[in-house]
Amino acid sequence: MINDDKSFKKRLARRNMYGSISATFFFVANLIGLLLIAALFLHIINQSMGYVVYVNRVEPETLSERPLEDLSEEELGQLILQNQPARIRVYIRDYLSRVSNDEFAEATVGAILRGREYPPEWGNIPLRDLEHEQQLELLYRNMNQRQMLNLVVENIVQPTAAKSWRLFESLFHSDDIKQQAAEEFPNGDLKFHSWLNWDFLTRSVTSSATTTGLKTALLGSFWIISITAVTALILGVGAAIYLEEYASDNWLNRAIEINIRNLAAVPSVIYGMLGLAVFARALGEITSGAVFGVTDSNGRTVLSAALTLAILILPILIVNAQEALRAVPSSIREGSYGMGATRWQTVSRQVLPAALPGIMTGVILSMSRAIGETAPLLVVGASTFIGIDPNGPFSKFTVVPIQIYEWTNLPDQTFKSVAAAAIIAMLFVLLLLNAIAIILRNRYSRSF
Amino acid sequence: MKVRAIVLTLIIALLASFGVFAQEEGDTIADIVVASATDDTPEFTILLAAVQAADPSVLEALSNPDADLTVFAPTDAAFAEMPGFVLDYLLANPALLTDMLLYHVVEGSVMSTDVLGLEDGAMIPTLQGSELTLNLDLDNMSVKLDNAQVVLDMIDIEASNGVIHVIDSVLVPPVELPEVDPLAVTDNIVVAGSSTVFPVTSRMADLFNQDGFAGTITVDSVGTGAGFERFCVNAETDISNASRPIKQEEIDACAQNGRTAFPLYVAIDALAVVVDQSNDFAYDLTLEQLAAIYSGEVTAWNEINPEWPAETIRVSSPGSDSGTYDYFVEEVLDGDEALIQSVPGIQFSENDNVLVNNVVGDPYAIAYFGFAYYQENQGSLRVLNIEGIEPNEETGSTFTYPLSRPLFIYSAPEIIREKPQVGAFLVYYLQNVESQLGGGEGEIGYIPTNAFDARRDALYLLAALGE
Amino acid sequence: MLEQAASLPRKPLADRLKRTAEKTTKQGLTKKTRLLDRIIGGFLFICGFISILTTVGFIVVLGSEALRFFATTEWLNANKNVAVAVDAEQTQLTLSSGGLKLQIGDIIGLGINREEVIEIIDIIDEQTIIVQRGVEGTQAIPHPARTPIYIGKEVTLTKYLSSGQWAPQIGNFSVMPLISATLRVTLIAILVAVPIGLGAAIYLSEYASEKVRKILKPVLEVLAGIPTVVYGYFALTFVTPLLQSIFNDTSRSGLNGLLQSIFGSGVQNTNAASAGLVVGILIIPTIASISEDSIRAVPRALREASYGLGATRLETTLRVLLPAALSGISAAIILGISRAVGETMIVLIAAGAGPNLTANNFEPSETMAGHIARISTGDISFGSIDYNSVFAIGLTLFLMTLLLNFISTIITRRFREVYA
Repeated sequence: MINDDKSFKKRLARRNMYGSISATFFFVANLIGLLLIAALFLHIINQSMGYVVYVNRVEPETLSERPLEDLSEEELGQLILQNQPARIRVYIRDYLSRVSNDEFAEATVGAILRGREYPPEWGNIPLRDLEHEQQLELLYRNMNQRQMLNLVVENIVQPTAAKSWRLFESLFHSDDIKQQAAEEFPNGDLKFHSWLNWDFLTRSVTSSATTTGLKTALLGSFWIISITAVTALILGVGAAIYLEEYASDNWLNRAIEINIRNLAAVPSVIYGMLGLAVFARALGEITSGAVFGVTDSNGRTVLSAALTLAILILPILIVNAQEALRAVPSSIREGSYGMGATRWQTVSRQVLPAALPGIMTGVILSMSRAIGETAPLLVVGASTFIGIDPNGPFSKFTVVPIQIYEWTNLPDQTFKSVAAAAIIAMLFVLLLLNAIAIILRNRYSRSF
Repeated sequence: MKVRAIVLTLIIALLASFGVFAQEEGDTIADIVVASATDDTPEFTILLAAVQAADPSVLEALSNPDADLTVFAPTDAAFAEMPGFVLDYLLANPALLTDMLLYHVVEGSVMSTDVLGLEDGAMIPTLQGSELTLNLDLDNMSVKLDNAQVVLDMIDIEASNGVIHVIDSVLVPPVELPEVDPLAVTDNIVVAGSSTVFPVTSRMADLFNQDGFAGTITVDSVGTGAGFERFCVNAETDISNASRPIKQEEIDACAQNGRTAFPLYVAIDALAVVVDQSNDFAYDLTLEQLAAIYSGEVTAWNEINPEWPAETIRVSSPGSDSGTYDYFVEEVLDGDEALIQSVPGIQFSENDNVLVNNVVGDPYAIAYFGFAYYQENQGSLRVLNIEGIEPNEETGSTFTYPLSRPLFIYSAPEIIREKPQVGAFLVYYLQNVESQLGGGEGEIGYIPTNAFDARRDALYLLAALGE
Repeated sequence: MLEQAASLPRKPLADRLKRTAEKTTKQGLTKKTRLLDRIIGGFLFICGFISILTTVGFIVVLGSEALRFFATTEWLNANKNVAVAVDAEQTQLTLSSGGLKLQIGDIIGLGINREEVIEIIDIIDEQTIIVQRGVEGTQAIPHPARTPIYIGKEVTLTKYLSSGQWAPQIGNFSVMPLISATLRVTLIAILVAVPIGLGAAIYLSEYASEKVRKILKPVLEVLAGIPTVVYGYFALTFVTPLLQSIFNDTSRSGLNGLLQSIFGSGVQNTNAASAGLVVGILIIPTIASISEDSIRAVPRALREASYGLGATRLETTLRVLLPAALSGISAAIILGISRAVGETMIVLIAAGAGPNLTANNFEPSETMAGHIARISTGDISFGSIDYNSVFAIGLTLFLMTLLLNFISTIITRRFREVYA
């Protein structure tokens, strides 16, 4: 065969051709992967900013002949008095009050405005007994023009997003958009708006796309992840130490090992069901805080959610921690034992410090998994709409991914942009965590 | 019109001649009430108790032989419609009770024949001071005072000092609710239930917060059934949103937790049956056609109307835990759940927004949900007429649109007494909800309840507050 | 060695050893510390044991609720009532018309709390039935007119696993629509992920330079770290409109017309195809990463031998490396399948919301995981038929993933090539 030079060459050429075709295919496979990542990110960025038309609930022209910006504090105050006299007291409470909300209703002017400007003769009169005009005077005497202007714009003018466009449309068809906006919303105000901004991150959730925010969900995520991290870290590292340093090779410990690997493959929604039945229902007394005297709550709390997530990430955490512990050479242990240290002394003073970077990498990776988990928390019972920021383990909760899911579900296109903004915020945190994990791994991972 | 009036008069005269209450000559109105209350089949026991508990002037007026009065007497069944605590509250508050009773009494004897001489919508002054509204519907042979139906075979019961007509529910005069200061209450309020009522309650919650309530209000949109489960079985919510009336087993569960659930009518919904705007053929469906679609009897549009495209109808419905689903099954499918559940390819969701998403952009899809969700998505959806009637404020509030239904919130006096903020919120709710409803920009697309339902709500709430 | 020790996080190792030793010497080598050691050992064992508890928890929770689903009779409101009052003796009942159809052999509960249960022996006409009174441990008692009746539906494993419809409210308990949707979504995902994932793995391990590999691999792994709700968003707002713009061309000419005639009425707003494609994207890194590891683990000697015999790179890869790494690759694919089967958020957002037995992937379909999440979102009434049925589906899903995991373990054990 080989003698047949011609046919050999022919076959060789064919073989090489196959080789290069397939090489192209293998390369393209990677390219597709990269393209998909690019498509995903571009799509989300595209949704998250662009032109927005704002329409005012009340046109400023109908309020005043001069532009609002040129009005004095007192004139702006008059607008509030004309439109929302009952709200004046609320604004005093929200912006100026020195007493707690519980005491506010009964409190005197002197107590509420301690150290601020007010006519001394009103000092002992409860605020609510004053006329609206008098309350107004207290308000504008203690606020500057900018603050008063904000009050009027936010509460009376109330600009809301009537229509929004995507980033690429906004970049490449801005003339069309301007024309369309002018036709459809003659009174509208067209602005380029990034839905992801500081206000968005620091406002609580509301039912309007213009004023909604991520704070409630961020706090929810923060509380849950904190509790999850503490619980999972103790249990996970404990289990890993047990399996690597303490466990003898018997059936029970082998069962635990196999079991952990199986658990890692269980779908997360099933963890949610476990959480629902065990934490939210069976242990409802504890997770609702009823045994600690917390009332008005059920088992669908931050605590239930956090414990569910802790159980969910345990397998990942244990496997990672085990690998980190295994990487510590036995010479270190033997050295320690040789000096007469007990097992715990060896583990706590030699092995753990040496394995710490590896363990931390695992912890960070599993945290980033926990931050993005949605399905189990839906099942455990996140609240569909809460306007309250969670303030402890027994609060009702929502988390960032669930908030994204809720926004995605709303038919109003503007909320798709809000969801995109929240996604970017979440991905930023996740990528940051991943980057930290990679740096940790690269810096400290080396064999002994 | 005239002919009808005469026929009605004849019927009434005929019925009256078989007078249910054969009274002796010279009996006053009070005597008749006492007599029938102590009868073998007692009828006015509660009315009698009420008259006795009220200011003595009421009894005096009714037993004054020289007076000439017309009394609209609610039966025991009418009183029994009110929650027990409302009755107890009335009996313990003679002033309010007197007001209420006098609202049932009109100066001069007005016989049924006189009533027919009046115009629909006529206002009749009462001894209480406010006026009753007469609603005369000759087509349907119905005479109503405010919300109360006059029981046609129990009218014109003559007494020596006037006449009695029996009505099927208690008349409520305008009731003054106490002023609330949202700043004066704190702590939390927990609400859950119907997704249809959700937009209203969450709007009221927003406003209550903006007007100074410093506590927290959670509103969960979980469906009516799950809402009642949280309210009655778990007793963890303070207010339950509902798009259907509470069921007996739910009332029982509430009672076991020491809660007396009572309804407040907050709005009327003209249930919207919607298609996408790109649908250029279906504009009107009969209830029968709707039932055929939602029972899988027809699966393609051309089976309803041969001129329509031969495309599969893509059907979406609220999920089975939703009050809207219950209402629809009851109203359109005669309560036969099996029909809707076996429609091929039907999509269910408790989340009305998912239903909207199912329809948007798909010319062959159909769904139904609360009118507010249609109004929010007017830009992309189109609402169908049912039986030729367009759902709007007028057809909805008069219930001529076939799929009009009241929306409720439920609470319990036990909760309100324990948590004053809940009472304050409910008062605020009733006082302000009307201004948020309607078809305008920023308004929620439901229809305000009529004034009489609103008065009854106010009375219930007043009793629940126990002030 | 010195260098390594120096880069340990806190103090040099030697120092630590020395201090431990000093301390131990001071304490005089007593056995005292052993007690602490034991307590800690015990605590650590408990930590490890929690994983067993979790598994037991799964089995107990899913099992007991699912058992409740299978063992009990579900009572469906028949929307009928007893038209004429009956005493405790009568066996002929007159019912109101309308409502659900009754059949001979049906078990019927009378009254809201099913005070008495009866069995239908004969049906004379639509409104008249002959019954056996007081069955299933209940007593025959009189019933007033208008007593509501309920039809008892028993859920059996056969019904559950046979073809049919999933609508627990009306007594249809076939899980097949959910399983079929799950399998279709998984199949689409695998069709997307295996070629791309495997291709990427081969490229990274055999073709790419070390430098390219070091950049490409972590970038691809970014795909694995993105929360699934983001993928769901992507599927709903990008992939579905994309599919619609390709397949829903109203002109119906050429290729589009052909496709439409195959796929029927076009891509709907939620559908299995777009969810499947995106689940595929989600599992690409799973398959790529594990496959790449196992291909790289094939010893150098095998490659060199193959090249030495004159094989091209493709031939070496296909004929030598892939067979050698087969166990790892199959394990990767099975892990990918297992993730696809259990994936929830993508299907919840993009696949649809009704158990729908269909073969058309452009129609809405609901997978098991999606159904669980939809039914239990926000709230679910404890002990209701929905609550119990969701746990039965959960158990099915749990067993499926367990089985997949088991298969993958066996494959890795059985077909692992051991190179000494």
